[in-house]
Amino acid sequence: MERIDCLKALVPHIKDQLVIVTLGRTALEWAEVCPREGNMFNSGMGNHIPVALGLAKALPHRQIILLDSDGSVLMLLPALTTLGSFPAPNLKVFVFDNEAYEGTGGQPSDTARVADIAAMAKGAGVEEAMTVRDLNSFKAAARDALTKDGMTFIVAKIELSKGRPPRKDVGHKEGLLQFVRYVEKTENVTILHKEHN
Amino acid sequence: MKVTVANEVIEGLKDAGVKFASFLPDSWLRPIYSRLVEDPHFTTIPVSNEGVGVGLCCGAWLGGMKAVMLMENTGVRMACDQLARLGISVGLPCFMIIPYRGDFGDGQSYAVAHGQTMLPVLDALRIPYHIVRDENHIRQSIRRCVKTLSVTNYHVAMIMGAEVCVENL
Repeated sequence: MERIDCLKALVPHIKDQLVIVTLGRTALEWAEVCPREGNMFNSGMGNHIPVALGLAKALPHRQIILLDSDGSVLMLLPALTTLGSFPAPNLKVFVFDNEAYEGTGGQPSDTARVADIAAMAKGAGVEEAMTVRDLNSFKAAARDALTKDGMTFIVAKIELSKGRPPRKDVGHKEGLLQFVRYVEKTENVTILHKEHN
Repeated sequence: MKVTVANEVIEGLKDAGVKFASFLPDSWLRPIYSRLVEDPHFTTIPVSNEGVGVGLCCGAWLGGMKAVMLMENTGVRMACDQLARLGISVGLPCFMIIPYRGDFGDGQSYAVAHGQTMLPVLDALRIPYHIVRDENHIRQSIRRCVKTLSVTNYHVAMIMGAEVCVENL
């Protein structure tokens, strides 16, 4: 199955969730199919699970969605044990596993060889970890994840992307400020410094 | 570490509005960790890798919660990539409290590397730091560091010198 079809399948479920998105083509495709203020792009490869978990703990009443990738998860595997030890019921993790570092030319990642991210997550205590391999299974799993309580961890086995990526600006500093202002507005909190003259 | 020093850190964090804490335990800050876990004021998540803790604190900040990461100065080396990406590339800040292992008078040979590399690594990451060497300065230092993080939107470190971490130095 293709990542773009999985992302399109998520769109009908998106309302006011905060969505943390990994780097690379996943970010470009999500920005294409679901542009909105509540998207936060590229917290740095490897950092997405910790950032999403910290956000979920800070806002336990808000659904937090993480769209991550195999290369990013593999970069900071200890994040899985933290996720397993301190789960957040409002956190919904999707890992799009194309078994490659697509952005650098498609070199295989360890999941193309022997590594199994869902199995590692289960071993780390993420009991809900599962792998889906076709679009219908993804749609069913995603629907369950986004409409029911409880942390979820869905690894979607996808093909390498085809054709040119969407030309979308997921600019870092501007995107961060947009996301932070959205959280401030919707949560009635102050995050950025205020100076009083 | 004296109980009074641990009290100053806990109360200083509360005074500064910090409600989220992460740590990878070390021996010098030991009395603080149990206080963080047991005090319902804090949401506390221990980690097995300091880079994960830095990410957690940045995520908590994104949700409007002031956060602190406590880690030995080895953790700065371990979390280098996370600190650089999150702070410089993305713009997410983390307040760190770090014991100065390898400071003058530290009797452990393994700490030599930690002491000699800590400040150069913090400088390379452009992280401002405030070294506290008097128990009576802890609360004010925490307040100033948290304020500086807010104004700069960048990481800040409070380094606790051997004088405040070790009894009978």
